[in-house]
Amino acid sequence: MEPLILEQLDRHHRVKARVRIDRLPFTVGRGYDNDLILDDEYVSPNHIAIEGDEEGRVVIVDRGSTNGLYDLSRGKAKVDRLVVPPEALVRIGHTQIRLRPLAFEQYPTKIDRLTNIALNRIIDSRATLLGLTVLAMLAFYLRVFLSDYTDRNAGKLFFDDVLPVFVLIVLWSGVWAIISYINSHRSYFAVHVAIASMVTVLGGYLVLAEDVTRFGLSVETLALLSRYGLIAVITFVMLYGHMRFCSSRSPRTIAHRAVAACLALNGVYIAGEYFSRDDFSSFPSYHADLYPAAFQWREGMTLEHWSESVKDLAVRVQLDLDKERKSD
Amino acid sequence: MVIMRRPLKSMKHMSLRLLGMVLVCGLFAGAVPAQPDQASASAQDLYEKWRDAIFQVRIINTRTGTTSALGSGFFISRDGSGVSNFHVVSEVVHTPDRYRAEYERADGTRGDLALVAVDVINDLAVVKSAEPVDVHFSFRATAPRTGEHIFALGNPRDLGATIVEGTYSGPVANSIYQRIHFTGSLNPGMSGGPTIDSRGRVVGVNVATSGNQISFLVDANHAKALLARAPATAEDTPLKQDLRDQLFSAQDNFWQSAMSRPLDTTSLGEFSVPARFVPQLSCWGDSSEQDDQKYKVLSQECSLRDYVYLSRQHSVEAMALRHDYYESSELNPLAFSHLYSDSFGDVQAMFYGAREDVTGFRCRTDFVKGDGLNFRTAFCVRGLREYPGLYDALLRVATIKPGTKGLQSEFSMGAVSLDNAVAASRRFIEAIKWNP
Repeated sequence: MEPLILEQLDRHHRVKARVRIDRLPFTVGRGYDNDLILDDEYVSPNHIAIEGDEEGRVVIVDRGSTNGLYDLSRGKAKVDRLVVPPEALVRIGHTQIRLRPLAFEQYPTKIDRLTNIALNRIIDSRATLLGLTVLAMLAFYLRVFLSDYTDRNAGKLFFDDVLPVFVLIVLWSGVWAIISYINSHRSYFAVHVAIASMVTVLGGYLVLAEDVTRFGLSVETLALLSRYGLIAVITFVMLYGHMRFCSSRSPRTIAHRAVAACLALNGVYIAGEYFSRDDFSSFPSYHADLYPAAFQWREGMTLEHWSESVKDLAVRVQLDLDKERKSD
Repeated sequence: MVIMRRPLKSMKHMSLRLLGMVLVCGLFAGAVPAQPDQASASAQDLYEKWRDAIFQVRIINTRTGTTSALGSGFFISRDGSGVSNFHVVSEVVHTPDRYRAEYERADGTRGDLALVAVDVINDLAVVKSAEPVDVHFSFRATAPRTGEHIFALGNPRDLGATIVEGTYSGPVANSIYQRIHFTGSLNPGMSGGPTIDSRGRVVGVNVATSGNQISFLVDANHAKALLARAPATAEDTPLKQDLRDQLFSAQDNFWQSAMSRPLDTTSLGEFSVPARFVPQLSCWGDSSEQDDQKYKVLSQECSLRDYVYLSRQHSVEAMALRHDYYESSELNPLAFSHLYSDSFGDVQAMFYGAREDVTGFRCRTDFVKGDGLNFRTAFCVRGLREYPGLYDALLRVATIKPGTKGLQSEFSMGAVSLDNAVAASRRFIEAIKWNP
């Protein structure tokens, strides 16, 4: 016969014991002469037996117990006898018993999942992670170094502007490593450091690119949209990545949830910006980034045109006043 | 999203502006050591004779019944008309439901003061007591000669009536709102009191001090003119509307005359820039080019000496401007661009005014084509709530020549109509030229 696994469950479906059945019959009861002895006072000394029937199937048979045998897979019905394959879930007394074939495939768990992703090779290689972190740090330093206009030397620049950023990343990763350890018994500290470093550096360069484009092409709305878009993409990748690691659901479900979460987050962000758009500012504030290189691309408007356009500001001031008056 | 960049610590902008004057309205703040003045025999006589014609002005909060501001004033006619400063009584003009004015003479008699007329530009107010008075001043018809002894009367810091001797030093040079320089020391609380000659005739009204015997008076002729046009009673005087009209026509006159004269320019680095837009502007220049610095900045800043007092938190400077010329042979374009961006967000102009005085700023940024130069401009305005049609405006301009040379300018205008602000800004931009 094909060996079977018998699982003894408590009332909350938690597995209390597993027994491998290699030969039949196999008896279960409170009495010491059983193959599985149950410490459950609602179970009779000789409660059930698992045996082969005339057709060669595995069946569970009630051995004349006081409280009977209940088939939980078929609506909790009280039965005398039931056929097992492919699997069975029954109750005797206060104990549940589940029978499964040896070939039963376990659901993947948090830990199992990791082994299925190709990224693991990177995650498991400390050298690769260290390399990526150092690379990110160098790229960050390069940007700081090239854009510095003070009289600080290269070393001071590193300690002033670069190191603090990476110390922050390490601390931040430490917090997530603790959470990750509690959740999945692995810290993934180096991974967090490497990924956060790369995102920081990439983000810095992207903002630079955005400012140059915005300034050079003067496409405020587009730049704003692409900024929201970028934030959305980064949030999505982060959420999706983490959920793939932590959850055993299908990639499709995870993607749906990540999209929903990321839309919600961005919605909150955009709503925050929207509601603070009319805040009183006692100080003039405007988009002050100037990229001299981009300066040359632009053809300005004429002074006549400009003089007309700026008068719109009076309308905006008046609108502010009207709005205030209305809310008073 | 609006991004406001603050300057880095290494970007040192020195404020080149000299200290302006301090109003001498008693708000129990800012101690100026009183000068022990040697009063002459004549001062004693004058004090004896005139102490009943001056009074202390108390601004009372009607809800709490407490004094919120103190100043001085003097009677000028038998019917109880008196003169004080606008800045002493401004709260009664702005919020008459919350404040009222009272007078108290040296002999202890007191009574209510009604507000009849104000002159915001010359910082004057005509008040009236319900009771007629026995002793009152009269104005002197001719201006005193420089060096002539004159005497300021008032009630400094609520210490009781006093007389301060000094000399008449003529009109203050380079001021747009005419003021007289007086070499006695005025102290907080003396605002609105009279300054008289040795025969007791009023030559000016105490208004401000710059410390150390540099004090300022309003010419008595302005008080005379205000009295002449003041209505007989306080009833139905639309003071707020009057204030707005005064401000509006003052700024119109100021900007019309500023725009009609040829613009004075100066060279800064390799640019030619507008400098003394009006002759009353005082300009200072400075440069920062230490050996270890990778760039140099040449700065020029021009500001006016006087401002108009509107309310306790809100004083307005009609015009101020500033230029910074940046040059570097050491910095790469990216670093220069960072330096340049960081300083463009840095606004030097001072904007006073609380939320009840002004609206928030509204700004727009543009590219504007000038004379062979391409400009990045930021133009911001905010409205003055009590004075519809008047704004505080700021123009920020940046331009750059290929390589690492650039000019950033700032032009601020206070209590100005939008038309004047835009016309002046346009003139300002037009005057910036590349002049290697």
